Amino acid sequence: MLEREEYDRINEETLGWAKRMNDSVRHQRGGTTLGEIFDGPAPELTEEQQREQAERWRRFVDYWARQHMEHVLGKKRADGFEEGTWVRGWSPSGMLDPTHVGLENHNPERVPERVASLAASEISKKKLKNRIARFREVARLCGRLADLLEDRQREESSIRRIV
Amino acid sequence: MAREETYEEHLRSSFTNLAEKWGEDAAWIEERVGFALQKRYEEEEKERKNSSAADIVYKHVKAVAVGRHVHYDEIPRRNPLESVDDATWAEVYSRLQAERRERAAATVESIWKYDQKELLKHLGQESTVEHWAQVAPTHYLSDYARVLRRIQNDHEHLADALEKEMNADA
Repeated sequence: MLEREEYDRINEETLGWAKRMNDSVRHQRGGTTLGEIFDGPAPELTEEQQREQAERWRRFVDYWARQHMEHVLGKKRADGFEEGTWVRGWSPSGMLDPTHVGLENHNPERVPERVASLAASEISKKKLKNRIARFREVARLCGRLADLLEDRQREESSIRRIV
Repeated sequence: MAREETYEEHLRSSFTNLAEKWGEDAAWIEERVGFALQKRYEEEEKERKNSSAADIVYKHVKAVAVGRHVHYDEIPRRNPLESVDDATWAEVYSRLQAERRERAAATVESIWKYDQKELLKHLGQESTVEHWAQVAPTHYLSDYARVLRRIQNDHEHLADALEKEMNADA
């Protein structure tokens, strides 16, 4: 087993040597080292380049937002629209809707009224108030996004097609 | 109705199939069956020494209720068994009802946690909601709105039901 001092000495020397070798080989090949790139000044971008960069970033963010929406809200398949993870399986809607095709299908224990009547005596009043508040908050937020989507749909359907 | 296969018969047929596949003889089958029966006997003995009659009945009845072959409502309040007395069955019944209430409470808790971890994480941010509304593909707008309305209704439904129960208790 190496002593700590010896280990540090070997590590430091070998890493230094490797870095110098790497840099020298790159320079011989006419390349730039990563260290030089990071140490150097930020590249001067023209206004046009800055606009392009911002546009690329915006497209990247939009793309991932759409991907995420497909995952959680749903996407089209060959046999129709498939609902996403927010309504399937173990999600709240998947758990509470006994007519939904999923793990909890046709289980009378999972109907909201039944769940509530059984659970109410097990959960303290303070906790229950907290749970109810969160469920209402989620409902409000879902409703808000649904409103915005419906507004956009109305707006877009009213735009006259230019032939 | 066909006679149900005993555990020993089940073991014998399974090990016979394996013996044919692996080229083993009859002695190998007997040895495996004997070992499995001994193992089961030991487990049963352990359970017998550590459990009451109510524990054993509760275990079997709970398994069919949790597996949803039988709904909790279909489990009779009166003792349907001859091998246990009414007091034992009453204990089993009350334990099942308590377990049922605990499961319902766990459902509410898991929905509450899921909402925090999944829905509120995204929809709780005003900027995300507006961004999603802007970038959602046009051909998905009606489907997404429908899905979100459904989640909204499910949550309102549950919140209303809980509130009703809470006020009824008060």
